[in-house]
Amino acid sequence: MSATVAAARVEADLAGVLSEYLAERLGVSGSVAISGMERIAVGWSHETWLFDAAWPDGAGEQRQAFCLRRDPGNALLRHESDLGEQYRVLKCLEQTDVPAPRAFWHEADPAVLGAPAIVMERVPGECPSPWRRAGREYYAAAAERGVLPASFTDALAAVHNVDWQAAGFDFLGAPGTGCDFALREIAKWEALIDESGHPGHPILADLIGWLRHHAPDTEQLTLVHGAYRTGNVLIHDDRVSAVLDWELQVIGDPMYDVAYVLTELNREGTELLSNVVPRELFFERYQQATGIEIDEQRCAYYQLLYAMRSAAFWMSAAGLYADGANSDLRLARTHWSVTVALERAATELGY
Amino acid sequence: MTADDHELLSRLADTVRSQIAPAVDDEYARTQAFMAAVILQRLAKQAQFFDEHRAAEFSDVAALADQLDAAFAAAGPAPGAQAHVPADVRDAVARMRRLSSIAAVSEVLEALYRWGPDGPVAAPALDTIRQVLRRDIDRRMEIAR
Repeated sequence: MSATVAAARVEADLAGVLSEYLAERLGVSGSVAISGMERIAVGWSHETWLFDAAWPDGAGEQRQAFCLRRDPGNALLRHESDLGEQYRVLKCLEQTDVPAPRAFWHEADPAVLGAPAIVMERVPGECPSPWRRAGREYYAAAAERGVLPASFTDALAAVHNVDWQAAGFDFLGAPGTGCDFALREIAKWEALIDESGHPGHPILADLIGWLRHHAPDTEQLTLVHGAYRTGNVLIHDDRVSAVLDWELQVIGDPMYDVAYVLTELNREGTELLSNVVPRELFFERYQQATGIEIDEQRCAYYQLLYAMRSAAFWMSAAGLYADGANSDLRLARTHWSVTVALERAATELGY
Repeated sequence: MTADDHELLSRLADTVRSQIAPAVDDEYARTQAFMAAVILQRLAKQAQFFDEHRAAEFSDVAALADQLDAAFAAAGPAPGAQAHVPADVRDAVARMRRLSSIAAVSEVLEALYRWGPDGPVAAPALDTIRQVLRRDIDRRMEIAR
C-alpha cells in the first residue's frame, strides 16, 4: 500500500485504524471496540482526538479512555513541539509529582496513524478557555471556592520541584551559567522569526537588542513548562488533574514560568493571576512549596521576552498561511496580531 | 490602494459577515467565513490609510535621519567630524535616508546596540528613534485594532 493510499485509509476510517492499532499494541486477540471519537479544538499545534476503547481479557472487559495527538506537519510551532519530545517528557513526568497524562505510545512513522502521533491516557477533567466569557466565569467561580487557586499554584511548584536530572530530562539540554538561558530563548525565537519570512519591524529589532543587552543571570535551573496558565491545565473537582501542552518546555529559569503567571496578558478584566489565583496566595504558596523566592525584576524581563515570543508565534502563523502551507484563516488574521504584540512591546519598553 | 478599494473591501466584509457566514451550517466553515470578514475589514482599513500612512512614514524617516545626523555631528570631536560614531551606525542612517523606509530603521538599531545602547550618543539616539517608532506603531494599530 502506498503512503498516500495508507493516509487516505486512515483519514476515512480513523476509528478502524485505531482499533487494529490498539489490538496489536495491547496484544488483544479479539477486537478493540472504539467509541465516542471526538476531535477537539485545542491549541494550534496538533490535532487532538478523544475516544474510548474496550477489549476483552480473561477477567472480562477492559476499558480505557485515550487521547490521540497527531502532528499534521503544517501547524504553528511545528519545529518547536516535536511529538517525540512530548512523549519523552510525559514518560519522564510519570516518575514525578507533576499531574500529567500517562503516555502509552509514540508513532513517528506517519503511515501508522496518518501522521506522527502519540497515544496517551485521557485524564478526566475540563479545560475551559480563559479567552471566552464562560471560561472566565468558570475560573472566577472556582477562585471563590478557593481550591483551584491553591492547586494551580501547587502544580507549578511541582513542575519546578522536579529533580530534572534524576527524572531524565537531560535530553532537553541545559543552558550554561550566567545569562545563557535567556540568550538561548532569544536565539530560539529569532530563528522562528527568520523562518517565518515576515518582514518584521524595527520595534522587534529594538526589543531583541534590549533583551540581549539586559539578559539576566539564571540563579537556579529547573524544569520549565513554558506556557503555564489556565487553558493549559485540565481541571477535575476543582483541582488540576493534568498539566497539558508540553510543547515549549525547557530546562531554565523558573521565573520564566512565574512571569507567565504574573503577566497581564493571561488575565482579562480581573486581578486574579491567570484568571484564578489571588496574587498574595500565589506568592506565598509558591515560595513556600519551592523554596524559590520570586524575583519580580527577572519576571519583568521575561515578560518582554514573551512579547518577542508572541511576535514570533504570530509571524510564524501568518507565514504558514502566506506560504500556502496551511489554509486556516485564523492564521492569516495573525498578520495583524504581530502589530498588537509589537505595540505591547513598545509600551513595555517605555516608548 | 485607493479609497475605492477601501469601500469595495468594506462592502465585501459586510456581506460576508452579515449574509454569507450566518448561512453556513458547518461550524468550522462558518468560523472561517467570519474570519474572512475580519480579514477583509482589516484590508479595507489598510486601503483607507495607505496613502496617509506612507506619507507620514516618508516624512518621519527623513526627519529622523536629519536628527540622527545632527546628533552624531554634534557628538564628534570637531563639528561635522563624527569621528567616534562607528561607521556602521553612520552607514545604516545613510541607508535609511536613501530607502525612506521604516523597515530600514532596524539596521540603525542593530548598529546602535552593537555600539552600546547606554552610551552618551547612542542612548539619546535610541530615544529619538523610539518616538518615531511609537508614531509608526500607533498608525499600524489603526488597522490592527
